[in-house]
Amino acid sequence: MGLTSLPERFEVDGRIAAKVDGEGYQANFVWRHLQDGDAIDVQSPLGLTLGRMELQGSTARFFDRHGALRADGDMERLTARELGWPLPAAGLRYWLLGLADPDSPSSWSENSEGRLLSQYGWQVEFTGAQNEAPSRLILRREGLEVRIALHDWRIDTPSIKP
Amino acid sequence: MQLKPLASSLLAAIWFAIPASAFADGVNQLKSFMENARSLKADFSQTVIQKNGKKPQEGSGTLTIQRPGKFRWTYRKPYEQLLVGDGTKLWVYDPDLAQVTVKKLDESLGNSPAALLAGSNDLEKSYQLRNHSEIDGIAWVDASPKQKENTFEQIRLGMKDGKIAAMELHDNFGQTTLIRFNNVEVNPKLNADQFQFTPPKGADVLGDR
Repeated sequence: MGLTSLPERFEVDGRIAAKVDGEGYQANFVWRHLQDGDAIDVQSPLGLTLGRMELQGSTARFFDRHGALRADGDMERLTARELGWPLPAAGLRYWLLGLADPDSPSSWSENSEGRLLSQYGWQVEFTGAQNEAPSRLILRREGLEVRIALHDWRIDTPSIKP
Repeated sequence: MQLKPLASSLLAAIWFAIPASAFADGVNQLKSFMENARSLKADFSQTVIQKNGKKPQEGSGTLTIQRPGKFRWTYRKPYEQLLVGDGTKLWVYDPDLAQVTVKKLDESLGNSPAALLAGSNDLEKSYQLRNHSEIDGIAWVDASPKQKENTFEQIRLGMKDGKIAAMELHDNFGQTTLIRFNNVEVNPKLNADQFQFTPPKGADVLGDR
């Protein structure tokens, strides 16, 4: 059964591959969602942190691999500059869980591969499913494709707490 | 007290009877290992520990190294991921994402553990080496990067019986990666083709930005 709303806290490990105008980028990440915001660590396969993003409300901050704050502002612009491709972080915290951001217009459809979501100018395809959330996502926008594989979900929903 | 000749030669005999590895310090073990090991084969297990004490990430796989500059680092758990250094390029292949990313080896691996093990003999050129401690038979060596441009703050290398046994890496976000090497073979004969990467059918091959 899928989730219907964003849990209070979740943590998931994943890998991301971006294809931007024929060029590629690959990294591992850990996404942590807490009540007051999200923290995303981008890591090399050996687990070394290459950068950290923090989202709180509409504020986005990026720390480089030395831990120094590089800039703050819009996350898509920030990641485009720091990583070379835009990470749609505002929507992603919902998309990772197979949900749409309820505060922004969205539309759902289906194809042979799975469910499709249109939101924030992105086409999101969900394939494979673990118990509660998708295991694969493909995000598409003109000239850009981002593939995400997820594993090891830790979801903390208040309603299932003892 | 002055030792009598007999006593002192007895002492000397006992002293020299101790196997070299038992008192060769970590730095010396590491230096002679780097000098002698032209190739390397091992299994590894990896634990990544977050600063905030969340559940550690566990992984494992195999690695082969042909120095200088060639290596194949294969993750089997918790997912498949392959890193091949062919001497000039680094290939990263993730089967689940069906993507291969290729980039120049020097810019991507300048200071990674793979580069450290696969790199030149002269560790002291890039790292300040210092004996740290001996724990459970492993002699630990602190390697502090001389360049500040490093992704990690501190590397610790663990030596046992003259071979690499473990590595501990601390990054700038307070995260620790511990790699344990098992079944280490020094100077095995390795097939050259494992250091060449042939992209699998159906995978996108892309240059890094």
